Amino acid sequence: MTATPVPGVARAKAATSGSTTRRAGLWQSPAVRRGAVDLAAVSVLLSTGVLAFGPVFGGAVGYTAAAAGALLGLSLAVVSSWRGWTKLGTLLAAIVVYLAFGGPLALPDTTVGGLAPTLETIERLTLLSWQSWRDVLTVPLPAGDFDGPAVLPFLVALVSSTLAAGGVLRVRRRGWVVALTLLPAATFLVAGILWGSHEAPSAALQGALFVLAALGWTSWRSQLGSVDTHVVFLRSATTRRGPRARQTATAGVSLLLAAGLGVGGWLLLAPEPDRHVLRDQIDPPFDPDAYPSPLTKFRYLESDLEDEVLFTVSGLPDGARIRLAAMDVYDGDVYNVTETSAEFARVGSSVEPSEYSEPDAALTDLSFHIEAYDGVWLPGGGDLRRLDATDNLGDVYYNAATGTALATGGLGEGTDYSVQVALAPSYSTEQKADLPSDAQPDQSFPIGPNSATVDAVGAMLPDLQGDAATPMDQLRAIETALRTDGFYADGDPDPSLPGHTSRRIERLLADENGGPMVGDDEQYAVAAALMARDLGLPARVVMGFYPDPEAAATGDEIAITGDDAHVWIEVKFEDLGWVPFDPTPEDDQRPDQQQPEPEKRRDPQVLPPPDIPEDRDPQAPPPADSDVDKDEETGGGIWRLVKIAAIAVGAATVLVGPFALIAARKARRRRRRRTTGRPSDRISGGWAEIVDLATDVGVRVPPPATRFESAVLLQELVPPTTSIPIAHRVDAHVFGAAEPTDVDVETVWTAVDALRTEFRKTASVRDRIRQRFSVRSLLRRPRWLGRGGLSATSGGSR
Amino acid sequence: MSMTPENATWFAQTFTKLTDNIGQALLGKTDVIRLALVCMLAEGHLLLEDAPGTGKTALARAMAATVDGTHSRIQFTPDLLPSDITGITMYDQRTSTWDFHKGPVFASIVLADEINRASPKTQSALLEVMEESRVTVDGVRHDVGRPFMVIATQNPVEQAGTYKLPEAQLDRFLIKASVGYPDRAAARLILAGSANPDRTQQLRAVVASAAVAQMIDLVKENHVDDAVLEYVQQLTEATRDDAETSLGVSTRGSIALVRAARVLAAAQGRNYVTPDDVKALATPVWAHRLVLSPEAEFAGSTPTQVMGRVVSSIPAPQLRGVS
Repeated sequence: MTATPVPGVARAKAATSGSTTRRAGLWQSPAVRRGAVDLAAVSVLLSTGVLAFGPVFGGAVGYTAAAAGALLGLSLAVVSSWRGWTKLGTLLAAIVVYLAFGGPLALPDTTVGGLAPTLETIERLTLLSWQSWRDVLTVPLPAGDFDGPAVLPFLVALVSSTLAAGGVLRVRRRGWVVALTLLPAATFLVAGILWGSHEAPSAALQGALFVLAALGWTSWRSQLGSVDTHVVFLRSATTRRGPRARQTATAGVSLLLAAGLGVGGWLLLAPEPDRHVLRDQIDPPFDPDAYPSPLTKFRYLESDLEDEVLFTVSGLPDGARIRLAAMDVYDGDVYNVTETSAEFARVGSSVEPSEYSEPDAALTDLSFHIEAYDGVWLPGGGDLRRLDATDNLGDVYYNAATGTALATGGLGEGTDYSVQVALAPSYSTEQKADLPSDAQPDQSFPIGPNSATVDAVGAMLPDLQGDAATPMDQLRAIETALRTDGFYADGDPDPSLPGHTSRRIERLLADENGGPMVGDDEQYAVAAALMARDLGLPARVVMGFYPDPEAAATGDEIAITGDDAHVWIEVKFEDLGWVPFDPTPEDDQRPDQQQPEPEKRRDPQVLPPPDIPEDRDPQAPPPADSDVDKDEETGGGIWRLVKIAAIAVGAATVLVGPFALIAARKARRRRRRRTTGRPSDRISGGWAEIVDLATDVGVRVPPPATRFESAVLLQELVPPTTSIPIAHRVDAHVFGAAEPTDVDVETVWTAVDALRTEFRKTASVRDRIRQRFSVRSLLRRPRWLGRGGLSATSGGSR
Repeated sequence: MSMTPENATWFAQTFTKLTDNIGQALLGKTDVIRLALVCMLAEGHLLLEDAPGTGKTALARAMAATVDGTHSRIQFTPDLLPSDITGITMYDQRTSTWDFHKGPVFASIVLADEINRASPKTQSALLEVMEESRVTVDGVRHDVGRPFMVIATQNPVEQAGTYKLPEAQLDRFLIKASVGYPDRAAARLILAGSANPDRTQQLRAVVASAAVAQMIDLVKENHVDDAVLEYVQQLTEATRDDAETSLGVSTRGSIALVRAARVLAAAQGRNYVTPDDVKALATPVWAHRLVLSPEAEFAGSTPTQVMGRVVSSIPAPQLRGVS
């Protein structure tokens, strides 16, 4: 437009906004509306970060901290923009907000009444401002159980929302607004993903929400300040186009968005285990297989340390048992601790009750002083609620399902610690006899697989269980049969092989020389567990300690010796929970000394090594893959290659396909415009082709524009000497008195082709790519331009 | 017989000659000069709404001087009578006959200064001449001649003691425009030449009245495609449907726009009308014909704004019309 007002020249935009402003007040003010839309867009973008940060904390802690941080940041930016604070002032205000609200949100324990921060709050918040990133990665999940990690989502949300909203409200340079807003919001989301866990229930939603919000908002922003409707008055008016910087920024943002789309799509499509989180890099997951099964040490404790005090415990009620570990998987060599039922999680001093805990169980405090015992397995497991150690136990991992605790630092002489546990109910013989026979086993509990079978177990079962019909009766029968028919021997003085390999259990149950059952807790418990599993019952082997009932009443502090180590089995029943069974014969039920022992002659009197295959390290974890897996692997090599090739072809199709499709559609449109319809329509089609070229490159040609006005808009794109004469020529043929001839059509199209060539010669690479592959013209082609065929309707009809 | 490209070229050349000539008297006002010429060649009348001293009279005189025609000026006052405009029949004692003494309206270009100051009766007398191009006094018809154009002016500032032109009469003006103040460069030139304030006296006629009449006849044949007519009709309907207007453009208004567009197209050497011509003239030809609703007026809307919105809401035709 010319600088001086020219009579009769109207700018439609000014016309409409001018009249409505006065009518509807503040909300109709474009600036206020724009700000509101901007802030709404920023809120949606930030909400994806809140969603990303939530799950790792479990419960509402993460969501609350992140959402509160985002809201506070937004408010801070709004106030800062409204009051015109400087950057330094805003920074100071942000620090104040952080210290004031960080306590209630992330460190409620340190505050007064959960609200007012104390000196400790300030101190910890200061420390956590740079330590929380590490804490979130290293604490066991859910991180919400700990005090402190929630500082991270709060802080990141606060900072990124302040920056994003500040960018939108205060940055004046148009092109930068979008970039300076999207960047912090994206950082928030990415931080939420990286600092998150593999569990991401709303990952797809986050990705989609972010991409959609970013796309929608960016395109809305880019519409602002685009060319107003042009009313050319007597051909003396000029036009303008958006500043160059805006276009560059828009292009940059488009690229950013494309990248975001790619990442988002990848996150969407990638199977969940492939989700990459920083947690994996920082803290290698705990592997219980790295530690030998506690059961392998049983014979050592039972015989070598028979009279040594392993540890003293105080606070142990009568008849209670101290658990060391529960094992639920058997591979034919070792009965082992697994993570089948639940993962080993690192714990601090307090342990939240898990889904496996009895909710209202009575808690018992036990204090331990370790003497001769050594190892990583922590006596005093069970339903653990607290663990206070004066000595460094290293990292303590706890499996809530099996009630097994492990201290990586190991226990040794002089270690003191105390635990608070909900002790498993102990049953006297009478109590156990009173248990209902028709109790149903709880099959829902996940138990590790038995990968080895012992033939004798299946063979003996019918004999042992007699006519017992219900699981409870069958277990009682097995327990009684083993206890009464078996003999106890732990190698000293009576010979008995240690270990519980399948061969050893086979020998226990069906001695090839027809000898009686001889063994100790280790063998009997494993045999009973295998039988129970053979019956399809959820059984596991438990190792622990309990004092000799006769010697128990020695006062508060009880000394546990190697002789007090025991192994029993537990079976889970509905309503009853885990019911213990002791299949081991009394230790005075010794094999008959006079009876010749074939084994005795064959085996030397020295303690033989555990009966295990020579090529296997007893302490090594069981091999992960069987031969079957290996076959699959070699056969799977080709399959994998095919899969990779398929994915590559698929990906290429996905990547290139849309571009090819777009190019094809444009070519088809072009062909139809050039060849179909009346000659004047074909000439109009030539101009439509030019308008689409401009549209694709980002010049917005408003539908009310005439050809000449469009040509003026195109001035920046192609030299006006090319486009304006074409517009005139097309107008002459379309609106002239005589219908144009085919020669005229060809002349116009030749000029159109020349213009395209000219454009390609002079345009930047980016513009050329956009011209070929942008979908703008395909999507936004107004009806008045007609379809490729240009139906012979009146030009002006809508 | 439609206009040939050669006719159009000649038309455009003459039009440019006229524009340039008047431009010597009215510096830096090409747009309003072109509007005035379009108005004249479309046989319409021009209403200038402008503050005093912006060059309204200069424009009228320059136009009259350029087309080798006569020029008269009527200063409208509340006591002006219709006969002061049209002329009177007087008894000539020597010849004992009643002679008609032509009023100032008998001129090629009539400048009706401050038309809103005269009583409605007097206003309507002038408007009747404008519509009919003839004066009837005592049953005798007197043609005013060709070209005939009234340039009426209104002072938008002083409203006391004025009679606002009724809408029906506004409709008879083909174009309403304003001259406006000159831009800085033109203003400096005007000031530098202020010793000789009346530049119109230096103008010489470049076109004979007969040639102008020929142009008027010629331009009536300029081709308007059906698509363009359809476009005009859509614009017309849009002004009637607009929420802020209580009265849209009349059929006379639509015809006027097509007439003016024909001239503008020819002025650019085209023997066909394009949507650009329509678009360029829509506001000057139509804005004064719109009657806004009381709410819109209260909200501060102006007819020009409404026209801007209407024009930007209707897509310009791109295809040839179906006849």
